[in-house]
Amino acid sequence: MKKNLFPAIIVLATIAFSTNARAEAAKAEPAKPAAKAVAAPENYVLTIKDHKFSPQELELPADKKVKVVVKNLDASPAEFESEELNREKIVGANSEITVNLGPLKAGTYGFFDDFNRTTTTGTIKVK
Amino acid sequence: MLSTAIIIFREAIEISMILGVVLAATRRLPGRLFWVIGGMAGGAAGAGMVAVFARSISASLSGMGQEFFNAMILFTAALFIGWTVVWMRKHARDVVHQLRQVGNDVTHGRLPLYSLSLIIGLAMLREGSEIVLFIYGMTLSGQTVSSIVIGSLIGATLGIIIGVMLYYGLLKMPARYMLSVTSWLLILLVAGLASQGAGYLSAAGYFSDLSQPLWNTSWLLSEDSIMGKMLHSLVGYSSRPSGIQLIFYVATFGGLMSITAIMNRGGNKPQATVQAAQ
Repeated sequence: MKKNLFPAIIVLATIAFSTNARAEAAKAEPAKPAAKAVAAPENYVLTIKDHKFSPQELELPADKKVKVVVKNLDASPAEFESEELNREKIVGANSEITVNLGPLKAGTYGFFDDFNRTTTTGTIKVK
Repeated sequence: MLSTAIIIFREAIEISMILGVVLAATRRLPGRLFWVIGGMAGGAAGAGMVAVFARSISASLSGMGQEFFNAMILFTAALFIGWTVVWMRKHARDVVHQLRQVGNDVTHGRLPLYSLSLIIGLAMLREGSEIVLFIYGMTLSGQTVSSIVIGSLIGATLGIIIGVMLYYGLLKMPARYMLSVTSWLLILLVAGLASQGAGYLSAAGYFSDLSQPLWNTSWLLSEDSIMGKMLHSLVGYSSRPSGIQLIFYVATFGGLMSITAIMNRGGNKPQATVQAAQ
């Protein structure tokens, strides 16, 4: 009886993965001339020093995949978190992490250090 | 001190709510205390280890180690809690009719008690490692030890109280409803864990075309509020769920519902053979 469920699960998984695979395939095809420039997501840097984000407001392009490197220059760990962006990631003391974002719609997205919620905050402005 | 208490409270809520439901659901298991305490001890030790190795975890898998690690923990917890739900349903009639029989089944190893330890351990591991890192950070930021300790104790106590209230709230329910309410809660919990796991996979760069938020209910209930946080831990509430999160939620929920429905439908006949076999 239970076996009846496995095909259903496999079908769902296949759908999920194939949409992803198709997206990857679409990216791999050099169909558009612009594809070359878009190929690698751009890197943006966000620094934490003395429990302050810098820049306080990070500008990102809309409708594009981007990578934000969060560098923690403090001696204590931080946690980059944003409800708006659905991200939560620990940044160890004196180390850096990469956050994959986008494609994002234009707008303002708040983020903060979950370990210093009130003092260490910033916004991402997507244009 | 206050900020320490608030942050510890927020992290502790997640652990204590999961434990509240899981412990209420498995309350009849004889000899579980050893496994519960074992799971807690293992989870606490594991949380410390994860905190120590946070940087290496983060740097692994092309910098996406944290995402995969969290997804793996969430999916494993979902799997084992799902197993517990299925086990509960299978033994539902026994629980009502033949308590002694169930007791024997368990002592003979019918429900793997280590799965209970594992669930507890994983719940503590994930949020616990954040608590460890946070407290470590506090000690470096010039706060006095006493203010950190008092703040942490206040936060942890309040978090534990929420879980204890949930536990006793479920136990106070009439036995008939209790079984279905706890299994519903567990199914929603599993679906929530699976969708959170999917969220981490999309943070790692998968399902990018299914990663857009489908809707935004943060005006109604922010995930960051205490109520939002509680519903997030318990039933996987998300104010901005993405497509892939919704797929994982619905598929997990539907999958577990079908399994339990099939088990109920296949009701009396197999049950008789099972009991005879025992």
